[in-house]
Amino acid sequence: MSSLLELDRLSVSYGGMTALSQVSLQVPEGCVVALLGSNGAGKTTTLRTISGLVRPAGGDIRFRGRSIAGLPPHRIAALGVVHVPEGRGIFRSLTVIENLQMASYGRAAAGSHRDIEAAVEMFPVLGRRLNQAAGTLSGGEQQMLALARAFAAEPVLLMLDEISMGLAPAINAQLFATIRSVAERGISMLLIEQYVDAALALADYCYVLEKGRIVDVGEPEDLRHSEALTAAYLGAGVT
Amino acid sequence: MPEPLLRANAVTVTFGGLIALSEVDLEVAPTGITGLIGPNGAGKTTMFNVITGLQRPTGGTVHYDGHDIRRWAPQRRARAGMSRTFQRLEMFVGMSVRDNLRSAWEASVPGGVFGRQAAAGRETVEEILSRLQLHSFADRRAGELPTGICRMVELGRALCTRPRLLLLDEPSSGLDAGETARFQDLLVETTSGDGLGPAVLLVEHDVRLVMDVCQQITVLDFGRRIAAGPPAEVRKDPAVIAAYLGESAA
Amino acid sequence: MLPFIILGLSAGAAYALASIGIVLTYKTTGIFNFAYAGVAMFCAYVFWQLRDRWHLTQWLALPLLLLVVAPLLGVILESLFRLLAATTVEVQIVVSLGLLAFFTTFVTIIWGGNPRLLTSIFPSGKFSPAHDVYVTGDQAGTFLLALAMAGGLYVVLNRTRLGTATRAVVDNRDLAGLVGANANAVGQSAWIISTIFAAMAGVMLSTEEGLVTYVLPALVFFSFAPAVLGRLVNLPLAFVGAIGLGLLDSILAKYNSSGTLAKIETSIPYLALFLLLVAYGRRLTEVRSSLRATGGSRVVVHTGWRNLGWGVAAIIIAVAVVPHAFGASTIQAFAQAMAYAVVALTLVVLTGWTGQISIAQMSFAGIGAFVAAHIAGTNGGLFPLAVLVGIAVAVPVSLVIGIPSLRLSGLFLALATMAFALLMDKLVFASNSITGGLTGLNLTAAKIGPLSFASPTAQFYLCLIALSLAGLGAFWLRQGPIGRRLQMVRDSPNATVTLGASLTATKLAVFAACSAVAAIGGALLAVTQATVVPSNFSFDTSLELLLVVVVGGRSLISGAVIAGGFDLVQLLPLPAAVDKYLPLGIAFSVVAIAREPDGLGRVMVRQLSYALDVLYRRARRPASPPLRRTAPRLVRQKAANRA
Repeated sequence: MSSLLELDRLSVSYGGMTALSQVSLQVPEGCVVALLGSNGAGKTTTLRTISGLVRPAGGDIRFRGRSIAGLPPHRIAALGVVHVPEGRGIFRSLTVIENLQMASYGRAAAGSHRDIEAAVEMFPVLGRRLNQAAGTLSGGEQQMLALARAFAAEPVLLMLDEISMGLAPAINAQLFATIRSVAERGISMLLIEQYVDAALALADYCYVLEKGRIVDVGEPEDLRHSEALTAAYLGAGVT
Repeated sequence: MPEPLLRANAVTVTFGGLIALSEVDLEVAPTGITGLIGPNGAGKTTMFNVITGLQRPTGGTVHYDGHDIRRWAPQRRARAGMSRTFQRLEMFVGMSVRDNLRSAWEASVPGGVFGRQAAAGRETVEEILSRLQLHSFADRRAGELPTGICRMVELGRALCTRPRLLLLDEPSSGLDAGETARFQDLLVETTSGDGLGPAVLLVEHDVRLVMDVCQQITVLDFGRRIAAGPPAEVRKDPAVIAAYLGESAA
Repeated sequence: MLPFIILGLSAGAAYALASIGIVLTYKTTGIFNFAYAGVAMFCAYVFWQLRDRWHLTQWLALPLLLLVVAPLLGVILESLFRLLAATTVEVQIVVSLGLLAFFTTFVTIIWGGNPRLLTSIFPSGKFSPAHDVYVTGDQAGTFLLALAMAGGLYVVLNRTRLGTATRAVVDNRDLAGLVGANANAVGQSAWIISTIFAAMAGVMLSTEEGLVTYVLPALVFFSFAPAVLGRLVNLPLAFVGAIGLGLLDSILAKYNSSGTLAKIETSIPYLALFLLLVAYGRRLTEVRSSLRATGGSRVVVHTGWRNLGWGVAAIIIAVAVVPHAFGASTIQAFAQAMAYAVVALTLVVLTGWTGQISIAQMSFAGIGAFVAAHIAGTNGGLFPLAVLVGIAVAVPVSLVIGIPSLRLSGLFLALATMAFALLMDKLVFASNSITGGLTGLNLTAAKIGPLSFASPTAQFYLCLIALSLAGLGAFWLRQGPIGRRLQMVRDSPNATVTLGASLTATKLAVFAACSAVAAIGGALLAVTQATVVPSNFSFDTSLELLLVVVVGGRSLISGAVIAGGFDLVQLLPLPAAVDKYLPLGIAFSVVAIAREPDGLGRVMVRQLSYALDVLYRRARRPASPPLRRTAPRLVRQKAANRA
C-alpha cells in the first residue's frame, strides 16, 4: 500500500502556542481517512498546514513522495490537493457558475465543462441557480456548492473539514451519501467530521487527535467503542 | 429556582444565508456556573457575542437583571456587571500583567480613568493577582507570556471589574492537563466559596471540565438548543449523545 | 450650459480613472494608497520627459509610459505593500503618506518646481455637435479614452479568468489560494492596472492644468471623494461619482463669473468626502480587516525615571547653553523649533500611543496662530485670552471631524483630517480677511501679564516652558490610568469595550485634547514667527510634521523633540545638496522604518548593537551558523525587555 500523503512528525505553533506536536499520519492511495477529536484538538490546523495556509514549525509533509511543506497554497492546489475548508467554503459574491469555474483555476486539466456538468448533476438544485450569487443560497446549498467545486477540480486528494457544520440532519445525510459515492470511485480523502458516527461509517482508517497529538489510531470498528474516543468527546463515564 | 440573572429568549442570528442561531433560549442563574456546550459551529461564540453586545441579533430578546439590553452598547453591559474572556486571546500586549488588571478595574469604575478611588483599585488588583497566583508575573509584559498564563490574566482582568456575570469563552483551550486542573480549581473557588462570587456562563470544549463544574448545562447543535438541565440529565440525553457521537450511538 | 457639461464630463473622466485606480488596489489588497497622487504626478512628468524633452514620438512615449514605466512602478509598489500586509492600518497609512512625499519631492528634485505645459495627447481642433457648441479633441478624447479604460476593466473583471480570480481573492483570500488562484499574482495585477490608470489620469489632468508640482496632487485628491462614494469597493459607483463631481465642479464654475463661489468650488471634493463619511457612518467598514493584526503592536510603555532624567537634563542644558551661546536669530530659531515640538507631541500621543493618524495637526496649529494674531496682534496683553479662544475654536472643530470618523477604523480619521486640512487651505487660510493674504498677519509683542515676549530670549523661555510642561504632562499621563486607557484601545478594542470603556469616547477625547494642544503650539509659533503666514499651516506642513515625527520616533516624547529639531537644520551650514535631498531622505526613511514606532534613532542603535553583536560572536566562534534571519528579532526583544 503506497501512501499518497504522509505527515512525518509535523509540528505547528501559533505565537508560542503549540497547536500540533509530532503528528505523523498517512493517507494511502484510494483510502478515506478520518481525523477525530474534540474542538481545539488540532484537526483543522492539520488540514490547513497540509494545504499550505499554515506554515509548519517542524516535520515534513510528503505528497506522492515529494515534500510540499512550506509551498504556497496555490502550488499545492495545483498538485490536486483539494481542500474544502470549514465554514464558508464558497465565494459568496461570485455566482454559482463562477464558483464552479474557479475549480479549474489551479489545475488546467480540471474544471472543464464536462467536470462542471458532472458536479452539477450530483446536486441538481445548483443547476437551477447557476447565475445566482452564491451568498444568497441556503446553508445546505452553499455546502453543496463547495463540494461540487471540489469534485469538479478532479481531486487527487480531497480534504473535507466539517462540511456538516451548522446543517440540518436531512441535508447532512444527502451530503454524506454523495461523499460516499465519490469515495467509491477511488478518490483519496482526508476528512474531519464532528458527527463521529458519519465519519466512522465513511472512513477506512481513523486517527484520534487530542491537544495536538495523535492519541489513537485504528479501523472504525476498533474505534467505535474505544474509551479514548468517547472520552475525547463527552468526558469520562458517559456509557 | 430564583429569577435568572440573564435570560435570552428566541435569539436568532443569521449571516447571509447561514443561520448561526435559531430561536435559542438560555438562562443563567444568579449564582453558580452554567455551561454552554455543543459541537463545533453550534453557535456558542455567536451567543456570547450577542450577550456581550459585539453581535446584534436578528431576532429575539436578551434580558439582564430585568432590563431589556438589546440596544445597550458593549461598554454599558460591562458597566452593568458583565465581563468576559475571549477564545482568541485579547490581551493588552504592551502592558504589564498588573497594568492589564489595573486598566480593567479603571474601565469598570466611573471616573476610574481620572484616578478616582485609585487606592481601592490597587487593593482589588493585588488581591486578584494573589488569588490567581499571578504575582510572580505581575511586572512581565503580557505580550511575552505563554498561553496558560494569558488565560489566567484574562480571567483576572474580568474579575477586576467585580462582575455579576462572568462569561468565559473556551478558557481551557491551549492549556495542558495540569493547567486545566488548576484553572478548574480556581474557577470553583472564585464562584462558590462565600456565595458572593459572580454567576458564570462557561463555553468550553473540554466536556469533562463542564460536567464537573457546572450546575446547569445548555447544549446547542446547529444553532438550536437541543437540551438543557443539570449535568447528570444532559449527559444521558439521547439528543446530546447523538449530536456528539452520531445517531447510532444513542 | 452645454459647454460646461462637456467640460465637466472630460474633467470628471480623468478623476474617474484615478478613483477606479484607488478602489481597485484597496479592494484587492486592503491598502488605501494615499501616494496615488504622487504616482500620477510622477508618471505625468515621465511622459513629459519622454515626449517633450527627448522628443520621442507620442506613439512611442505613451506605450512606454503605460506598458513599461507604470507596470514596473506597480510591481514595485505591490511588493512593498505586500511586506506590510500583516501590519496595522496605521503603519500602512504612514508608508503610503511617506511614498506621497517621496514622489512629490523626487519630482521637484528632478524636474524643478517650475510649471510646464503639457499639450494634449489627443488631436487638436474641435468639432461642433450642435449650434454654438464646440467640443475640443482633448475633451472628446479624454472622455472616450477614460470610458474605454473603465469599460475594459469592467470586462476584464467580469468576463475573464483573471477577473473571476480577482473577485475571488477579494471575497475570500484563503479560499482563493486553496482553489489554486495565486493571491499575490492577483494583487500584483491589480497594482499594475491601478498604476496604469494613475499614469493616464496624471497625463490627462496635467493637460488641463499644466504640470505643476503643487497643483497636480490636489487634483488627484479630488478622486478620493468618489472612491468613498463607492464605499472604497464599488468601482461603477466610484466612476459615476467622479463624473458627477466633474459636472458639479464645472456647472458651479458657470454660475461663478463673479468669483465669490470660487473657493467653495475648489473645496467641493473635500466637503463631499467629509459629508460622505458622515452619511455612510458605520456602513463604511474596512475590507480585509480580519487580516490585519489587531494586537501585536510593538509599542511598549516606556516607563521609568531614567527617561524622565534625560528630559530634565535636556531642559537644563538648553537653559544653560542656548541663550548664552548663540545670536538672536538662532535663539529665535530654537524657540520656533520648540513650538513645532509642542505640535509634534500631539502626533506622538495620537499616532504613537493611540494608533490614530491625523494629517491636520498644523491646521489646528493654524487656528491657534491666526486667532492669536487677530486678538493679540495690536494689543499683546490679550495673548493669554487669545490662546484660550484658539483652544475654544479648535476643540469644537475637532469634535466635528472626530465624531463621524472616529467611530470608524483608523483609515477614515486619516481621510477626514486630510479633507479638513485641504478645506482649511482652500476656504479659511486662502481668505484675505482671515489671514491677511500672502503677507500674513503680525503678532510682534505678545505679553502674559507684565512679561513681554518681544525678544528672542523671552520667546525661547516661553516655548521651553511650554514644551517642558507639555512633555512632562504627557509623560505623567502616560504612566497613569489615562496612559493605560490609550494602550488598551491600541492593543485590543474588543477587550476594551467588554471591560466597560468606550472606544469612541476615548479616541474623541484624545483627538480633542491633541487639537487643543496643537492650537497652543500654533499660538507659540505665531509668537516666534512674528508674522503669521498661511503657507506655514498648510496640508503640506501637516504631512511634513507627521513624517518627521515618524522619523524621530512616534511612540517617544523625545521623538517629538527630534521632530521639532528638524526645523533647526536650516541653521546648519550644510551644502546645498544636503538641503535639496533632505526631504527625499526623510520620505525614504519613513517608508523604510514605518514599522518601528521608536523612530530612526533607535533603529540605528539597534542595528549597530546587532552588528557589534555579530562581529563579537564571529570573533569568538568563527564556526557559528549565520543567524541573520532570527537574530535581529532576538536583539529587538532583548532591547524591549531592557526598556
